[in-house]
Amino acid sequence: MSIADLQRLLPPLRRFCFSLTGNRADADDLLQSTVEKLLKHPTPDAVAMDSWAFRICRNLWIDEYRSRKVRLAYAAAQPEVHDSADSEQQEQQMSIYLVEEAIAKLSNEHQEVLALIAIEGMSYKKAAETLDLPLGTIMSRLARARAQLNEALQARYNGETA
Amino acid sequence: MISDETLSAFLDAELPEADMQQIYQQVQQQPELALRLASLCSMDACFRKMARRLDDEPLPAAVTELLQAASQDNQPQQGWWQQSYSTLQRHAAAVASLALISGMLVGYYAPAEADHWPLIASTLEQSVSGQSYTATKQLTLTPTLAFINNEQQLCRHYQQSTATATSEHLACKQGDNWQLIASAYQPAVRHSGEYQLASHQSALDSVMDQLGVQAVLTLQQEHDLQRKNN
Repeated sequence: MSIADLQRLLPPLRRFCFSLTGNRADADDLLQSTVEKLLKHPTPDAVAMDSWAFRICRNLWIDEYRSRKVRLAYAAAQPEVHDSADSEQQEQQMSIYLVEEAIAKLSNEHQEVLALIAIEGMSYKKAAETLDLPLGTIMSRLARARAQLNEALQARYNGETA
Repeated sequence: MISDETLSAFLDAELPEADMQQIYQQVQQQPELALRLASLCSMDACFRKMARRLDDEPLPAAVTELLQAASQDNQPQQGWWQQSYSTLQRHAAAVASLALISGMLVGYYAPAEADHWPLIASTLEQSVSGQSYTATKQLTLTPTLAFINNEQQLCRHYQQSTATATSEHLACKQGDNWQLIASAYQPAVRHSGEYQLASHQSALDSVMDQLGVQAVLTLQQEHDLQRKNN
């Protein structure tokens, strides 16, 4: 993979790292390890470059970062404090925080499918290729992830307003 | 009752067209289904916002340093831009032509370019690599590579052909204006059958090294840029 290709992939890879790790510091550590590995290992001919990059990133996360639980998980992370008098903006930030919190409770399998499809807009076929899973598994994992996320959010909203 | 899986696939437009239409109609008719869908949409939107917050932040220094070190490591043998240069098939014509060039001269500004410069600059602005453009009746330009230099300027390497001569050039965009950086000329008449590929390559290579190649634009990126400029 050329450096130009790698540079093009950095923003989506970074978002993917953030989706998996739930915090910036771990996301950037994971991104760094991914870049190191991508620079050392050429992309196999049979695999699309971006699928390869995401797969390397995901495997690193599974093998190293997740087991070490380097820093705080999503659930323990504090929402960022923004000085803003704009209540709509604050509400939006709170929604994002609640989503972060709910995502932290999902399994890794659900997180990665959600990240590739909902954030990066990958097709199911491409996600299946990237994660090396059957298309049906992608569909069902994504649906379960969304349903669980939805349930968790509804519970949180109801709890807060009660 | 539409399953979560089907609704999720509907949201991602991953169902067959007939199923998409059928669910779309049901969403119109069933407020509860519309609410379920809206809930999924809003959750996805929050998720995207969450992840995209990092987009505006600078890359971690460690990653930037890794990339810089990698590009420097690659330069002494075959610069990574040269790898891209040769990997991208669109440069094949330019590479082939280099083998036929002898007695090259390298200059940092050629007065002869001045006459046609507005046309050349306009072509650089609106062209993609690998295609030939007729600037005037006598002058054909073939951009061969677009890249970003150390100063984050867009630069182009291109060939210029007339009936009597061929030349290679590097130009970079400074502000809104293209500036010619370096040129290498082929004499109109070769006096020897001995071709000297190495001397020519080292001449423009060293200029590119001085400019620093941060990123080579892919053909798709060039097309996007061209659309933006047009």
